[in-house]
Amino acid sequence: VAGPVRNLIASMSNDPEVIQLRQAQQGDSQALAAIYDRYHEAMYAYVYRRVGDVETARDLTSELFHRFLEALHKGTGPDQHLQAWLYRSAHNLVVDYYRRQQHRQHLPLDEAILAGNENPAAAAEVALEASRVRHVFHYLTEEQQQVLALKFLQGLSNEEVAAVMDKPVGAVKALQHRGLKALQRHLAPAVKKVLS
Amino acid sequence: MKEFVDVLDEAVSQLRDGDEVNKVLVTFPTDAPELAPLLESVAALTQLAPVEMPARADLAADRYHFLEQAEQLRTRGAAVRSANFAGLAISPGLFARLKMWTQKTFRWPFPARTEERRPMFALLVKMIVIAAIGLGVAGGTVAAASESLPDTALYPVKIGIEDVRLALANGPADEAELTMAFVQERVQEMRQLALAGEVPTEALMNRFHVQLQTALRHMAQIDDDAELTGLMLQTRQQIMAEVNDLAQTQLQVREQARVRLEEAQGALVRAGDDIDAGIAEPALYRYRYAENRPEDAPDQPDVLPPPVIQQENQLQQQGPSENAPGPQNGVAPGETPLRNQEDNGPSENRPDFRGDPERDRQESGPNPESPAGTGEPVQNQYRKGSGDSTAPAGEPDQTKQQGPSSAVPVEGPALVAAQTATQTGPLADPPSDTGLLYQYYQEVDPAMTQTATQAGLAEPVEEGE
Repeated sequence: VAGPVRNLIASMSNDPEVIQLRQAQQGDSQALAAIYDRYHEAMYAYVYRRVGDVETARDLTSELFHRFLEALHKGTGPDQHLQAWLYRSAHNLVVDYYRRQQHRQHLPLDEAILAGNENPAAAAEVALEASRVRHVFHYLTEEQQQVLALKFLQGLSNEEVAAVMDKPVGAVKALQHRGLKALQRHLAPAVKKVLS
Repeated sequence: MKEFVDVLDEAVSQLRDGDEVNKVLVTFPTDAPELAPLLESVAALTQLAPVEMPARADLAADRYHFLEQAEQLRTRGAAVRSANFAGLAISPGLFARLKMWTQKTFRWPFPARTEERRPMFALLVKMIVIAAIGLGVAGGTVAAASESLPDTALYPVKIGIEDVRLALANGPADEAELTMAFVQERVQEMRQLALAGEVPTEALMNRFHVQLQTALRHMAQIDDDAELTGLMLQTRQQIMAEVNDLAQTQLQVREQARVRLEEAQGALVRAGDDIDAGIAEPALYRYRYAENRPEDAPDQPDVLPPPVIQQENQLQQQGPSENAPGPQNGVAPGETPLRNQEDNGPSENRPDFRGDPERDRQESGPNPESPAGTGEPVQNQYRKGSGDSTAPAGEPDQTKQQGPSSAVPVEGPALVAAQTATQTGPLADPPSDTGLLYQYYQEVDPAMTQTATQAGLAEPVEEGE
């Protein structure tokens, strides 16, 4: 839908969230505070599960809401689907973060799993630890990561994930299938090597 | 039958509802083998589920910071809006208000995408910068190579670039023009080397000669007379300038280098003569330089155009004259575009090919072939067969001047004609076989055959011979 038409539809909406968003666009501090309180925890959790570090997650979440304010100020922010806009922006921030950190953290999977595990018996369990899974997670495509994170870590429904990614539900299911398959493909050899 | 992606989605939903993996697999016995590892992956993802929250104070600080930023932006926006109309005694006009409303109402159609494009935009900027640096380095190398001399490391790059440019040339005219530009570059290289106290290398001289001949051959492939003549006139000017440059440089260099410069100058003078003949008769020029010229063609394709032959015929009918041009003085009875025949004396119109005209006027002494350094022009030594290096010459437009031994003006490449008639000079040797020349005339210009026959220069071959 073209911008003016979308703005018109948004202005006619009776959805409380849309009304609150319109107020936030006008610079209403109460509306902004309400939006922050509603979405901050979910956004922080999403980012934390992706990066696995409290301070990094704090920084990225703060950056996310700062971008939200800037977008509202420039008139480029969301008009209706605030949650989808926030998840998209959070995903982009995480992707950017890992791109910046790539040269430091992108170790070969087997080395990463074996590093620091002197007890082979515990290695299989270690391989399934959060940090390892998070590492393997980065072997997936960005869209696969986004679907799996939103659905299995954030608990969103297929329809909500589709709204965030601006894709049909069928495409989300297909991405879920390919993402799980890729995750399993990358997890299995590591576990086998550790067990052997 | 359900697609596997739907089966997987249903199984995942059961898993999220709290069912065990084994129980879910029992629900889908057919797809269980394929489902099992995928559901294990889902279970692995739950390892990421626990979230460690920041301290309460940190959360409060982050919230306070967010609201502070919001207030700053709101204040800044108000300041910008007020600044737009600051100092106005009246409220904004109709169009200003309309513009504000338009900007506020009609936004960019895809606002949510703007933020997402930033990483890609940054990547594009990086790529452009890297490409610009790469091209800059390459461009710097090319620029440096263009100034290089044969004894430098970048000279092969320069020659390679020339080859590429020539390969990209469009048609014989472009090729000829480009090759002549390379010839000019070779001349400049010779001069620079010579002025630096070095001797132009044999390879450089060879490249110069090859490129000069190549340029002349490319010109012969131009079908359009007007285009060919135009390019020849342009080339003629270039050659004149180069000959002058070489003549002046010879005054400043040592003997070995001077010999090389003289060699180049001679080649340029001969090319200039050929071009002048080509300007007068493009068809003959093409025949002479065409690559598909028959092997049995006459050795001397500088044939006599009809007016010249007639003139020569008249001269022969008048009998030898003491003032007539001959091998003793090498003076042509007429004038060519390069050589304007006035008299044996000093000429005011020496050919530009042969050096500085001003210097030529001062130096028509008894030793015309004295080397540079003595003040003597070196131009005439390239017509070794002409005997007298003081043979004056002129510009092509001075074709109405008349030699003392001839009462009839001669036009066109008359020097060649006279040389042919008087058997002087390397180009003047008439074919011993007049029958062969007759065939040649017939091939080039049948209209000339009769004239040549009248001049006694060509005879038809009788049948049975």
